[in-house]
This record gives sequence, structure tokens and C-alpha cells, in this order.
Amino acid sequence: MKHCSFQRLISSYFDGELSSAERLSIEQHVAHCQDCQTFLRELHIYRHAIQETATLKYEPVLTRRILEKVYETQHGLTAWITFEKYVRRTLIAFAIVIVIFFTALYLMLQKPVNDYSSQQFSVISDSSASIFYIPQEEITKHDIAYAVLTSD
Amino acid sequence: MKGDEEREYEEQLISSAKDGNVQAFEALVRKYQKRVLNLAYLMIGDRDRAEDVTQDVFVKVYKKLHYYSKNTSFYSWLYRLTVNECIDELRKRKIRKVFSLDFLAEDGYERFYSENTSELPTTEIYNREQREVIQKALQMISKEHREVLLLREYENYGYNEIAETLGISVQAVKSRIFRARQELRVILHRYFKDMI
Repeated sequence: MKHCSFQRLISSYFDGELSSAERLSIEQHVAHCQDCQTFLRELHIYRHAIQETATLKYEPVLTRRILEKVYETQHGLTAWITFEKYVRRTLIAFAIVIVIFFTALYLMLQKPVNDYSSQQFSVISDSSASIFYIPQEEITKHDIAYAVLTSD
Repeated sequence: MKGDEEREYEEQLISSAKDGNVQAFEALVRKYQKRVLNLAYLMIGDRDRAEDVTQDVFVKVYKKLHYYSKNTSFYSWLYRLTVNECIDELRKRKIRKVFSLDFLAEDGYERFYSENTSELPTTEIYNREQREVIQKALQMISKEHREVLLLREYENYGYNEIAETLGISVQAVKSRIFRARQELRVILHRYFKDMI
């Protein structure tokens, strides 16, 4: 096996990712190979050095900073949601008013206005000279009789 | 058993945080802040920027928490958010430009650390120097190699977990880790030669 192939396996061996048979084979090789021993030692040193480098401690100040930023974001979001709700409600109310207005307008235009000049009316007056306008088809015999009796 | 309980508790926290429970979100921040900060620090190589990134990551977590599904582990999801945020940060500020090849020159390390270290005890100077060297070396390897290496060396993830987190095959994980180590070796060999 070529040296670099061994080093590949040594890398996996170092990580504990080999089968027991592979592990045994590597251990036998490393016992007699100076270069692979050096390689393995280097892997230990670099791992230790990396772990030693990542030693920043827990900082409550940073936690506060993070949470403040998060609250700020949260309030920003809340404010936007409130604003959005307010705008949405206003728009809905406005839309309802508009619909009611136009419906009313439509109904008003549809319903015929009592235009007396355009209909046939009989004039019935009483003794006190009051004048009633009654559509012709609604005049009863009593109305006529009443009109005759009270006319001058 | 303990792990199951912990996971259950974490899921409760996530679920409450999704419902707008601020205390639950605070508990999540306290639990993961240090890991996210250290990861960002290893990725970016600058403490102040790592803090900014950590802050941004948690704001993003807060905004996107409803997208998180139980199918993946919360930390895997958080890890991806952090790595993406770090990559954006690096791209934005073009931090790579800061590292010149002078660093690898014969007296590069000495020149690099000769400033502002005269007052410190020798071990402290050494530790600080070593941290800086590792930082710089990590910045010099490719992004793909760095993220896979950090998951392995810093997070102590197994190959399957790394594959799942990054969405790549186990074979690719194995290969990337090996190549990352080779790259790191080329950069760091001279610095650590006395220890090898």
C-alpha cells in the first residue's frame, strides 16, 4: 500500500472511524513506520491546538447584547404587525362604508320616486278644501261618494 | 437516558420559543452561545467580529425558528446558520486579504508577535501566539475543508453526523478531513516542528 493511502487510513483511525480489522492493520504498520508515527503525532498536536484555540468563555454581556437585539427585532416586528392590523382594519371599515353607500345609492336609483306629474290622479277634495291626491286605480266608491257629498 | 431527557427539554424550549416565549429563547441562547461564539471565532479569526456574528446568528434563529423542523438536530441547524453567517462576514469584509504570505516566511511568526507581548508572562505569550497561529492557519485553508475540520476537531462529531450536518456523503467527509489535515500540516509543520 502506498504511503499516502496509509495516511488516509491513519486520519480515519485517529477519528476512530475504522473497523477492528483495519485498525489492527494500521497499528501494525504504524509500529514500524517512522513517517506515519510522525503524522499521527501531528494530528494529535493540531487537534489539541484547535481545541485550545476555541476557549472563549461564556459572556453574560454578550447574552444581554444578543437578547436586546432580539427584543428590538421582536418589537420591530410587533410594531409592524400592530400597524399592519390597524391599516387592515381601517381598510376593511372603509370598504364596508363604501359598499353600504353604493348599495344605498343603487337602491335609491332603482325605486321609482312618487312622481305625481307622471301619473293619472283624481283630485278629491273635502269640505275644508283639503286636496287628496289618490291614484285612479285606488279610488273606491266611498271616496267618490264622499267627494260628491262634500263638494260645493 | 440523560441525553433523551436533555433532547426532550431542548425540544420543549424550542417549541415554547416558537410560540413566542422569550424565557425559552433566552435559555437556548445561554445554552449555545459559547459554542456559536467559538465556532465563529475559529471561522473568522477575530473576536469582535465573532461576537457580532454570534449576535446576528441568534437574531436569525429567532426570526427563522418556525422553519426549524424536528427531523434534524437543533445544533446542526444552528451550525449551518453560523457557518453561513461567517462565510457572509468573510466575504463582506474580505478578511482573507489580511493574511499575507509573509506569515509563512522564516521569521514571520516572530515578527508577527513581537508587538504588544513584552509585558506578558512567557506561557501566556506562547498560548496567545499559538492561538493566533492556529487562527491564521484555519483562515488559510479552504472553506469546505475548514468547516469539516471544525466539526470534527472542535465539535467532536463523528463522520455520519458531519455528513448529515453538511448534506454530503460519509466518503466525502473522510476525504475532506484528510485533505484539510494535509493542508493544515503544510502550514503548521514548521511552527510545531519542535513538538513533533
